[in-house]
Amino acid sequence: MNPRRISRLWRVAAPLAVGAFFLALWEVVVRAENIPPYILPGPLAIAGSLWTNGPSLLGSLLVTLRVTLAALAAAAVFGGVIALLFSLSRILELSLFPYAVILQVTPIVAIAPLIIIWVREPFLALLVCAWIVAFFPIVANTTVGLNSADRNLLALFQLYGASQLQVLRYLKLPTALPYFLAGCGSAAGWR
Amino acid sequence: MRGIGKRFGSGLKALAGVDLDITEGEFLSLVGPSGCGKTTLLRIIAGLAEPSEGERRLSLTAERGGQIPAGRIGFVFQDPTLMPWGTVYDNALLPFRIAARVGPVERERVREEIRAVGLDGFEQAYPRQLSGGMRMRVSIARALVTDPDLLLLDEPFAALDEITRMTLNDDLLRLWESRRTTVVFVTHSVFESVYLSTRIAVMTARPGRIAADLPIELPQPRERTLRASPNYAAICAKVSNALEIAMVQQSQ
Repeated sequence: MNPRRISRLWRVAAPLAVGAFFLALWEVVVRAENIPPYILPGPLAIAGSLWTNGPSLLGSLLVTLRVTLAALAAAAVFGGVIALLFSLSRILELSLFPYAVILQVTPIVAIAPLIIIWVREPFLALLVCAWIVAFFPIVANTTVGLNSADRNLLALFQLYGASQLQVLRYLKLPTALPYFLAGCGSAAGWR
Repeated sequence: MRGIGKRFGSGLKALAGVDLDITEGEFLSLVGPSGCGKTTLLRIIAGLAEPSEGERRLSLTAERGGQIPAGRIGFVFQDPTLMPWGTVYDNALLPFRIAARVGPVERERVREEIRAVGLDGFEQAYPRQLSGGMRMRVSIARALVTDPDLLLLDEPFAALDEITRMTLNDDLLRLWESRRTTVVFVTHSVFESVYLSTRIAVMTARPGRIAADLPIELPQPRERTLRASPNYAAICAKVSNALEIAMVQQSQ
């Protein structure tokens, strides 16, 4: 067997072994110490309850998933558009960016009750909450991306008489794409 | 160019009283210590920067009231300055794409120019797949596709190894000999400038100005064997000497 195959096997097997070990340890401690389930249930009890209440939990999971995806989509669209506006107008960026930062550092738990009162529809209220969290990383990343076009390439576009729209389409947007995707990544909580 | 001066916002005086006539069809090198404003001067020639004083007149701007018609000037930067998401072909096609003129004639021109710089078969390769020398060739092809009247090169081979650099020197010479495009070439290598040029302008630093203007009378077409000839060595010594005098004058 070559070393690369061994390392790939380990990559899967090692974390599984660690997980199994700690679950077993957990179960043993709960049983040995006779800890009541309302303080700490053992993994077997949790699995059993997951099985019996599966259908109702699955329904809730779907609701959460829908809110998450809708908010991510909304944040990607609005974040992308706002970053685009920022890149077109420096004044707009200077005047609005601080407020985007304020929105970002506001703890969502503090304003969530207000949002639920203001927006009566629960799905929409949750959507707004999730959107506020997801929105900022996308705006911030995309703005940086749109501003990091190579200076010499910009000069070259100028030399050949490119319009603002051409600079955006052939230079700034392709440069910003990886930044935008990284922003979506952190918005979704991958990083 | 008459009495060109350039002062940056920081108050740094980059150029002072630069007089320079560029003759059609010549290969002019600007040689000088780093920070002498060679790049600034080149950007002013290209119209990418405006002089703070003095006047720049190009015969090709006459027809359009001071505006340089797009594509009449080709520019090669110190870095290849390629779009990493585009193939060799996409990158070389850029001037036509910006001019919104992408027809069969233009496509053929781009393929022709890619062949001329020796990248036949690499049209669909991406910049990251190419060596530094090959990327620079793409950059040269892109500057040449519009058949410019003036080709500006800003230390294009400075980052390359000696062997690649010599090969590209020869290839640039062949390209110039077959077309006689007017070339302004910025470098800090005396040997490179003497090998390539028909004329060398030596510059001083801070503020930059032309200290010496030397015609290079070496036979053409030039071959690699020239680098070993006593005549070449004598001219290199002369240019080095002019450069040293310029730097002494400046420090006084």
